[in-house]
Amino acid sequence: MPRWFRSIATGLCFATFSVGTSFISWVILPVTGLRLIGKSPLDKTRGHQRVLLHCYYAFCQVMWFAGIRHRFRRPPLPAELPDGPFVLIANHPTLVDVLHILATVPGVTCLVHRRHFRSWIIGPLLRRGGHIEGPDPEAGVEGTSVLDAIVGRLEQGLPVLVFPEGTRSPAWGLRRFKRGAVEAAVRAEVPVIPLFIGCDPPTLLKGQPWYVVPSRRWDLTLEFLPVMNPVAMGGDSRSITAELKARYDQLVADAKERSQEKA
Amino acid sequence: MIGASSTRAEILDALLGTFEELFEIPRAEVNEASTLFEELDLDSLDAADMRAHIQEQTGRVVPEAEFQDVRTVADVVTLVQKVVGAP
Repeated sequence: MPRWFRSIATGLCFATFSVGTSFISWVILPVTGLRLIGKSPLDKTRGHQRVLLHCYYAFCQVMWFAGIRHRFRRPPLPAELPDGPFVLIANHPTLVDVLHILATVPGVTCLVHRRHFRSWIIGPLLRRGGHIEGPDPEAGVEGTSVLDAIVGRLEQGLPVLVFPEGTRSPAWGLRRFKRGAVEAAVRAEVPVIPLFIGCDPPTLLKGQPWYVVPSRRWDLTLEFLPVMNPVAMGGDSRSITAELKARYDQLVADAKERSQEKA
Repeated sequence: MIGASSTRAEILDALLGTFEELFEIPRAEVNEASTLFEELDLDSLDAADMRAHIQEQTGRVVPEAEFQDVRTVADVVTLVQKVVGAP
C-alpha cells in the first residue's frame, strides 16, 4: 500500500481511537459496570479491565484492517505468570505499544500522564481501569515520587506495567533504565516479568508526527522473557536494573540485525 | 572533594560529573538553568541517589527537607554551597 495511503489511514486510526475511547468511557463502561454494582472497588476494577482487554485488542486489529500494520498476534502468557501482582517491565519503541500490552496481559495497570488521566475523553476509561496518575513534574522531588503509588497498587493485588526508560525509546536503541520499577518489585516483594517489544520498522517515535509513516507496514511483536525474582536476587535494584538493561541492549541489537537482513 | 573553599564553578563541575556518572547525561546537555525533573527527566529515586552522592563528595549531611525544594541545577549548586559553607 502506498505511503500516502498509510498516512491517511494512520490519521483515521487516531480519529477512531479518540471517538472509540470516548464511547468506551461514557457508554460501554458505565453500561457494563451496572453488573458490578455492590462489588468491592478491586472487583469493579477487575471487571472493567476484562472489558477493556477486548477493546484494546480491537484497536490493535483496527490498525491492521486499515493497512498500516501487520496483524497482531498475542503471544502466549508465560506459564510461570503469577496469579498475584507483579511488575511488568518493557522497552517502549512506539506510541502504540502500550495498547498491545494492555490487550495481552490481563489486569495490568500503568502510570499515565496527568493530562490524559484528567481528560474527559479518556480519563474515565483510565480511572476505571485502575491506572495510576503520573507525577506533577513542577512539584519537585515529592511530585516525582510515584514509587509509593506503584507499591500501593501492587499491594492491592494488581500487576503494574513500568517503562524503565520513562519515555519512548529511540529508534533501534534504549535510554537509561531507571531503577524505580525493580525497586517497587523489591519493596512489594513481587516478581518482575520482563517483556521485549519489537517494532519493525520503527514508527510513532517520540517527537515524530503521526503522518510520517515508515517505508513499509510495521510489525509489532511481544516476547516475554524469563520471570525474575528481585528479592531472591539480593534486592539490589541498581544492579538488577543494570543486568536487565544489558539484556535489553542485546535484544535490541539482535532485532536491528534481523530487520536489516530482512530489508 | 567539595569543601568550604570550593567556588560555584567547581561545585557545578562536580555536579555535572555526578549527572554523567549516575544518570548517563552528557555534560554538554546540562547547564545551571536545566530543570531536574522536566528537562533532565530525573525521578525521586534519582534525587535520592544524587543527594547520597553529594553527601559522599562533601562529607556533610544534605537536609532532606531542603533537598525537596530544589527544581534546577542552580538550586542544587546553591544548596551545596550553603551546606559546605562556601562563599
